[in-house]
Amino acid sequence: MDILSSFFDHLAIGASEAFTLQNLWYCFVGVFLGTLVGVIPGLGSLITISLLLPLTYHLEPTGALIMLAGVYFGADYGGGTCSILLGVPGHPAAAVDVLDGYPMAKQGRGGIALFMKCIASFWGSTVGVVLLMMFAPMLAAAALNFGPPEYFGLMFLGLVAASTVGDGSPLKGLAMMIIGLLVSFIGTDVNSGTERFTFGFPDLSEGVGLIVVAMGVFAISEVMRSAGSPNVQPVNQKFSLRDQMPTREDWKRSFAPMLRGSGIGSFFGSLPGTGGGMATFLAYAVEKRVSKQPERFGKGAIEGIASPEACNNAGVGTAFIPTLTLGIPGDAIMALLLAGLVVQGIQPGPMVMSTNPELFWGLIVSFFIGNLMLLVLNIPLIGVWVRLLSIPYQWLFPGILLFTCIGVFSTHYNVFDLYLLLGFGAMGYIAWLLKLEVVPLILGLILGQPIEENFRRTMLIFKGDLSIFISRPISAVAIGVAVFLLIWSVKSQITRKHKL
Amino acid sequence: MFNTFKKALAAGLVAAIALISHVALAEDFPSKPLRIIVPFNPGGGVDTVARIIADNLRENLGAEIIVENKPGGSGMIGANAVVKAAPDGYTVLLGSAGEAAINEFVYKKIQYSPTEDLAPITLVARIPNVMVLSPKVPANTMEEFVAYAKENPGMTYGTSGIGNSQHLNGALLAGMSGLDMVQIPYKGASKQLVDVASGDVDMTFVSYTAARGFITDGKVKALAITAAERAQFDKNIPAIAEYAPLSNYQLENWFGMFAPAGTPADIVDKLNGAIVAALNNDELATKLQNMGGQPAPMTVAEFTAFLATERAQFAEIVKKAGISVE
Repeated sequence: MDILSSFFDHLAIGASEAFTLQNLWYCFVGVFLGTLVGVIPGLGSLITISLLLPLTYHLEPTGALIMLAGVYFGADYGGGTCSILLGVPGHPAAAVDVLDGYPMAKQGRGGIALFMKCIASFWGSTVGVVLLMMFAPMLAAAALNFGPPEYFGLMFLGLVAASTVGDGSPLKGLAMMIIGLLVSFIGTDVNSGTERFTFGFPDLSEGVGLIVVAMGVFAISEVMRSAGSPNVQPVNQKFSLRDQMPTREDWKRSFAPMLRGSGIGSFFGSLPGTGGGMATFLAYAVEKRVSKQPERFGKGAIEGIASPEACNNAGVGTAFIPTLTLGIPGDAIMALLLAGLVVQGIQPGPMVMSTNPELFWGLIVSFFIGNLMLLVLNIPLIGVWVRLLSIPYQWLFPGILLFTCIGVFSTHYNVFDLYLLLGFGAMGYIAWLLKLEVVPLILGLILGQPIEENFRRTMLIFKGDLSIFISRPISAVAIGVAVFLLIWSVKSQITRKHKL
Repeated sequence: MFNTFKKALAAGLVAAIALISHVALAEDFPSKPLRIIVPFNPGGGVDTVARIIADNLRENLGAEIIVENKPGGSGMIGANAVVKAAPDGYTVLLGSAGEAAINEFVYKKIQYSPTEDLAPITLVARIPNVMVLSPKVPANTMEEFVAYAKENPGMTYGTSGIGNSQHLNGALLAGMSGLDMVQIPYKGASKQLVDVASGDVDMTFVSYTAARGFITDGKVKALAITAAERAQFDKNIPAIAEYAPLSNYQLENWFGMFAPAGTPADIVDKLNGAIVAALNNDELATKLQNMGGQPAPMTVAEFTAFLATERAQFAEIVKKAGISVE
């Protein structure tokens, strides 16, 4: 009861702030810009926000933050569009949409995929916002219970969940994950400062970024593949709004995945440092695992869009919890937003809700408004986007290559990243020829470093005592579930072989 | 005779032209956009300061200012990019103590010499670290802490990596008080604070901005700051040096502006003037203080002398603590 009444109080404070003409305008500018840069492959919210940040020094803080946050979730919204239609992810977290969205587009169901993406995004972000409003302080306190052993346990569970998900040969999946892990070890070792596997290239000292790998194995390799089969007939697309509507069957299939996805996204979003690509790929892995027909995944299963999209957008909302209430940013974008606030003299922390209630609740209500705007903005646009498919591929791919290169370059202003991009493009192409899945590779890359880092940190702090992983409840549960999953998947492998 | 006169005339003419063109160079400067290289990711301390200053320099210099992030290698990739840039004043580095004065003693593979390859322009800001303790550590003053740490060897402190100013803060404290402490390296301040608040790690030295939320909420104890004196942002936190046995303790992080070596002195002076003017702007000073920084404008000569003192201190700490990266 208490939670509900304070919920409505906060809603009222927030609404009065967010519904000013000025803030509505900032919100619109933010989400509009965000959608635009999100659609362009490789160009994400980080570069846009860092360019916009100095402008906001002259705005009043709430409006500034509303606009920047709008760019952030707008870009997440737009990110899936090219993933679905062209197989080219707008940003790493949207790479997961390629897996089932692109096959859907090839089957002439691109519009439906886009529609479901919009709905799932809206649903996910609504869940995130509601959680943020009702439980922000509690969730922030919960995040404090996650120390190195807990992070290790969770990441380990993620890795196991991911490794048991492949539909082809489990050995191939494992091999790809190990390649991903190996790539993640490139870079500076945090404990000693020594560079590993950099082969004397200083450009590798920060490791290989997710964006380079994701763009390489998805975007570049897709261009290579299409170039290898030049006579692709444009798929038969229908452009009227009615043809973009998901069928009853689609809705039925998507409902539960959206719920699960938003749950996974909210949880990981509120833990600093675990957001972005990891959660969406895990949501996908979970969906595939719980599905009764896992073989449909990767061939145009709408669940493969619904769950990760809901997950992504729920996480975007809850990522503001540690940022605003603890002052600890989960990723580079949150760090930028935080810096913008701090410069304006606003101190994030638990008291931000009492010292700057209009800012805090105004921002949160603006998330909701922004997502509504995105829905209204995007659904009519689906028909326009789908028309992209009627453009012959030979006209499209130079643009795809160009924008992908610009996007990757803009992350570090480093030409070396472009060589890496090409290398991972080739790798993705070879993997496709050999029928190897790239999802385990991406997950290995995302999880490898945090697993190692948190394991070694735990060992340093607890002086090499391995029993800490079992004596801490959260890590014990996570590791227990991981072990159970491992045994289960090995067992089902064996029984499946017996049946054959 | 006539010949000599002709030669002298020619020489004079050349000198005059050279002088004019030289003056013209500084007067025209800047005639195109200027890049500030930030050797860290967007959103970090150096990046935020760079963007605040860029905003001001646009007016002071009348030129477009581009902030470019070149993160990696503990700041050395970005610094090296500036070292290799044309020494014309259009590429400058906003560097931190690490890549400008510490790493040269820590990293054997450093690819540039900060003393020879970088021309100091001015110090921009000092960022004292705050020593914060876990609530589980039963000490509320420096004296109590040192006594407790002596009885409990192996206390842990979080840092943002090897050879970082936080690492040196810990090493200096351990060295001066004869303590046995273990460094726990992280990537950035956020998770250090979470682990200190939960008591997994005993303490950390972080910037005030990063820790403020945790301090005001009582999740961690702000024991002391690493500057020689108490800082503007919170006069309630004593300086480590106020504890008599550590009266010489002073080790802050700082950000300074550098040009590639060989940049003409008048252009360096012009940049110095513009940046110092920006730092003396009240609005900008407030923004810096909001993020735990103390504006620290200097002349080129003052900054050069400051660097020499800092380097000597860093070299000594690194050597005593045996910090080294292959």
